[in-house]
Amino acid sequence: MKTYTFTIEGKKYEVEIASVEGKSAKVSVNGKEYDVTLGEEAPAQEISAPVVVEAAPAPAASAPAGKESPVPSPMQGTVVEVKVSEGQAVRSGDTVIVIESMKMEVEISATADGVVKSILVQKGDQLEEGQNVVIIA
Amino acid sequence: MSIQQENIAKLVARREKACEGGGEKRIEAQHAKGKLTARERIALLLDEGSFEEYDMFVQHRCVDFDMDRQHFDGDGVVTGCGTIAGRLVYVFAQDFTVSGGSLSKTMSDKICKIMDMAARAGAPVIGLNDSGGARIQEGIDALAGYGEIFERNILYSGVIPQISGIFGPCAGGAVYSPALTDFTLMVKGTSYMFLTGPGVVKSVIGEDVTSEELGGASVHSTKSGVAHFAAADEKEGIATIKELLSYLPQNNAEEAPLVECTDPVSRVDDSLNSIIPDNPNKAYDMYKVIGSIADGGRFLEVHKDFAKNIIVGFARIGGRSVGVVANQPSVLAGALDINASRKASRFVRFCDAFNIPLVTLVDVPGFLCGTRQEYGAIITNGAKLLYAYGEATVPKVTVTLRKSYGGAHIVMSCKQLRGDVNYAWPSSEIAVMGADGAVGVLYSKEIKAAEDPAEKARITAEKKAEYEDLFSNPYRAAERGYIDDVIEPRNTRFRIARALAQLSSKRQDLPAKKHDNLPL
Repeated sequence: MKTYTFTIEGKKYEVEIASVEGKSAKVSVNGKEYDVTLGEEAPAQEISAPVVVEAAPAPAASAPAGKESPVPSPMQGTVVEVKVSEGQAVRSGDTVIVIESMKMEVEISATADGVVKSILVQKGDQLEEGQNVVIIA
Repeated sequence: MSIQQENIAKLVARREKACEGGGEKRIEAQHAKGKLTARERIALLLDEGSFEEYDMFVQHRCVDFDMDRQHFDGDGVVTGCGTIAGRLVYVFAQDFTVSGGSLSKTMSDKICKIMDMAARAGAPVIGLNDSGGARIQEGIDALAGYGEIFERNILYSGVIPQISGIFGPCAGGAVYSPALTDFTLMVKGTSYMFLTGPGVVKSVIGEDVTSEELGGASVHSTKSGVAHFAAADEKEGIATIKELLSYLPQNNAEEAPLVECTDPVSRVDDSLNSIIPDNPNKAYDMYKVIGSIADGGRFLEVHKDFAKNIIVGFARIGGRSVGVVANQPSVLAGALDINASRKASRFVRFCDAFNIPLVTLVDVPGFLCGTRQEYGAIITNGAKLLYAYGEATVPKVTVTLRKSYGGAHIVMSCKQLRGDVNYAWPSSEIAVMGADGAVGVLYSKEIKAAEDPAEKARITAEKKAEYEDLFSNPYRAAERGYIDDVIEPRNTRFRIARALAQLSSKRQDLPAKKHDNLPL
């Protein structure tokens, strides 16, 4: 059994890999067990992403400390424009992402006042309904 | 004191006692929760001094569980009639201070009595709900009581307007009376509606959820659509009910009251000539158009926070009540989905039942596509709106502002659904599908055959331009008479008003039938 400790966005994760058989593995994260199927090795860039997020200083300004507001996409579509950058202050109702859906441009608005903590999509990405596009903290 | 005077004094004393409901302590507890009592609510709702109470002395007849020793005059509900802005209404208000407002057979008898009176008089019924549920001591009698109320909700549906205010708990079977009525209003923070409460939910399926998360106003006015209105407090809630009634007729044989109109119907609004963005994929705010055409810009929106991709509500044009249905391009691209179809179809059917003309503002790219919609039966749900428009015999005036494509074009009160007057703005695109899609289908062979990508792009662009030129406008439809006239946007208010005036004496029938079979 292998044990790892990760810290992602300030939260600690204890990960135990109980067994690996071919491409499937039994893993527990913070005591909760998952059956996972291993895919292709993730590109280095994706692994480093949480580190970048971690490095960004948590803005103490408007949002209450530790409270995160994810902004979900209201519908399926394709990202055509990212209107904000990480660290940028936004107000509830500001457009953060523009997607194209039903041959129309659909603006996705911030759900809270705060600072853009992370941007989870980029131009050209296909979105599912309910998929988070931006985290505001 | 003479015997007669004594008799009168007894009456006065008994009335006073009845008006105390469950007593001072329980009234204080009710106030501490930020809630008014049943009588305070009725006082706010009705014109001063207009309330005539019935059945004040009714008592329950239950003898089990020591109930024969607990009696309150009125038995937990205040019923009667009165006026709102001088117009007759019937009302019942459950009194939470008496046995938690729990429903007994006699309580239901009282409610049914005023419902029957309202139907005979042809006046609206307003129910103010604040009840812990069935009075368990009465067992099956309480259930029979609910059943009798529901049956009347059904029989009088479409005969007199029925409005439910949820001013406290409303759980279990009790939720079905509001669900059967025309409009449900909830008060934020103090009211909730669910079939099964958090306790049972936890023990049966293990889900941890609060009353508010399960069935508060915030849930039912945004996610489920069970509530048509959510009010910040009881006073606002009662004010909303009164405003709503001002747009409605007393019953299905009357017209809504004509209100004096100080806003000239010939008012021209130049800003509408530039409201449509040049880029056809850009959204704009449909509320501006509604505000421009309505008398004084006033609009009572129904389901404000539910399925916001379609807007429905009441306005007046030239002093006459109209039901407005409008696609909202700035939410979900204005596409029709399951919830938008459910919301609008119920509204259209209400207006049709109560002789309120329909004004439809169209800018719809189509039905929302994808597995979620198809698995959720967008076919059946979309058909509801189609059905509602096709069946409606009230005056129907439709203005196409921009997109009107495919099935959604037909659904949104097109000419063939017996639309009376159908206008279009010059920005309209009325076609079977958008240029991209159409070119992809019509010229797929030619595009495939072209080997050079530049050539492919050239053919696509050329055919797209050709298609747009031919179909992305209102004139194909106007040439066939499917659009009665192409109008300048700034004249929209005037044109709608004139069409409605022409249609004020419209009569149209449906073939004789027992009842229809709306796709539910």
